[in-house]
Amino acid sequence: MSPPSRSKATNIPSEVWDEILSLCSVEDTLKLERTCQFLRSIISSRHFWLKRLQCLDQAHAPDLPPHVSVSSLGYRDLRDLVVRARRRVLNRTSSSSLRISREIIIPIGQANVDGVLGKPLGWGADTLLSPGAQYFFIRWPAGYLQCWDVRDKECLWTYPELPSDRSDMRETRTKCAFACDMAENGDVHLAVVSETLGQDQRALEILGFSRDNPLSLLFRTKTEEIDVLHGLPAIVKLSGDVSVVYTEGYLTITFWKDDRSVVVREGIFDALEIINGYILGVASFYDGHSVVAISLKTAYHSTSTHVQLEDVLASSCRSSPPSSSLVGRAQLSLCTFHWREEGKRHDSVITVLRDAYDDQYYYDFPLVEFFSFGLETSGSSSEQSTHPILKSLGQTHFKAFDPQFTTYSVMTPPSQAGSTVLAFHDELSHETRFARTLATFASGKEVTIRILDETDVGGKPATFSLNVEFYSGAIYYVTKCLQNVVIRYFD
Amino acid sequence: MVIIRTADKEKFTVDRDVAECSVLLKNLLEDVGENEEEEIPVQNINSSVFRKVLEWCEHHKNDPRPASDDSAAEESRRRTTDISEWDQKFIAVDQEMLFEIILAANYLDIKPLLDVGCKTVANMIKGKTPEEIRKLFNITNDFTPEEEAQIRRENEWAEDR
Repeated sequence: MSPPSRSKATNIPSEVWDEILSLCSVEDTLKLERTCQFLRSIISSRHFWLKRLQCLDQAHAPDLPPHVSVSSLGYRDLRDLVVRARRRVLNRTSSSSLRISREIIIPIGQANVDGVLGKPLGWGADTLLSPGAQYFFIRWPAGYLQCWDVRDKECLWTYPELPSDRSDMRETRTKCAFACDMAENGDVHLAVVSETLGQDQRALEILGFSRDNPLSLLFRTKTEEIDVLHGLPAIVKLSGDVSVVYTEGYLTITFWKDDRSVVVREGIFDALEIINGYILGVASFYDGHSVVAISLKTAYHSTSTHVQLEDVLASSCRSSPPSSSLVGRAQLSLCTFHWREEGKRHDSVITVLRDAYDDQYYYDFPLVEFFSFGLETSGSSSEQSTHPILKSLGQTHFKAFDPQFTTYSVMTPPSQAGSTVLAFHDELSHETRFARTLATFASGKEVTIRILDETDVGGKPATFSLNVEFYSGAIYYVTKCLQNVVIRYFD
Repeated sequence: MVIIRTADKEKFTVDRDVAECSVLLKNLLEDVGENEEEEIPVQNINSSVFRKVLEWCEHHKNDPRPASDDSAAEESRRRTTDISEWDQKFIAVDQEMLFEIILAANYLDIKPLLDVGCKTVANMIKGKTPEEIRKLFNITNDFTPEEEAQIRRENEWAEDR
């Protein structure tokens, strides 16, 4: 290893250095790593960063999806998570505004020789960054779903496989929607709703792959309620063995490992998330808007394949847009604060962002509402029972918002503990599409962190959308020339 | 009273409860039982360092002993790099002695003393550049220019704020 050193410091055993390093800040640790081989060998190890990650407090909570186990992560990921968490805290307390720290460009155009896969255009449902930003997915207009490795910038697979003779390519699988989930063991699962051109039927497919295993089809089913007749599959979600597909008026819950489906009728859902055994959704009913929690356990044990919402409803809470307003679609973001507090895993904060317009059809400021979702214990000590409960935590208007823009995306990463939301906006005008705002609400007080301008998002992206990856604090978009995907990190 | 012999053959007569600040000595003493004639050797520690360690143990002999599996205590220890006034004075020694005390505390398994030492080193490092740290600890830069460039590249985004 290191040549004999006269330094007393480097002659003390590495386990003692482990102790010293555990007391050093991340920034001091990175400086120490640059001093000599001996200290570098201690610091540049998986073991070191795993221990470090496990010791982080809530303020430094890593933006890890709740179901990703820390011990399944590799050296690079562990190190990145810790360093990023630290940067975030330092940036927040310093006066400097948030800035873009890294940029990754994925050459997706390489796979689209002569444009056979079509031009990626749309509202952003066509691209997806996996939780933790390891993989990038794009659904090409020709109906092919493709996966790229973000670090190696390599295309891993195309589904279905591209024919060897590209002239054979037909638009076979249009209008598919998809969602991604990371399993506990590091496997990646995808829920794909696909349809064959000219046919009314759609299928829900569950695909799986990992670093070591190629893509395979795990499950396939056809359900009447997701068919073309019922409109576009507006929302697709996947979490563990549960997939949810919402088409107009029909919420189809599929327990794919057991090949069981339950359809919930009633309500128009704007946004859905699956968490800890419940589906949380923002729904409109004839008498207004609510945030609802649907029990997956009740749905699973239902004797009927079609149920009313009240049959599976676990809790609901009125959402309160201004009574005189018409409201646009809502965005929903869920955040569970569980870092190192195993007993308190169940408390989640739900952030709902919706466009609101007043009755004169003038734009109003978007409304941000906060809800909590958790289990409440009731009854006497001898007969205690717990039941889920949704509660309103208050609301605020997003005043920095330029009425010309439409709200577009919301996320509440675990690191932004409390009532914080990050929102991105996109201009309605077709000529300039680059201005967005990144803002946060701390304790109900609005703080605009940064207005994103042309230089931030690299000019005009190809699509209207600027996507955000919840757990990596990254924005991503397809460039105007359709050749690249740009991923930018804000930590 | 127990008798402890250091590496340089010096003998120390120590109160049992002072010696028991060290988990290692405590375990050894349990093995020898009440036989007070028996000398306990500590091979890795010289008398000058051991005298210093005893001074610390004497002052802290009535402190509550942290349970080894007490995660809450562990937590509060990590959260602060504060050192008590007495300990600060105690540990204001030259670097050679500081690292000797750390090594001795590690060997004798005296967790609170090891903490004082480690916190002192961590505080010395705080806010320094790699070059300043090398100078502080007399560390030779044994990286090749290529390796240095590599590490800088890896940490570029992390250090640049």
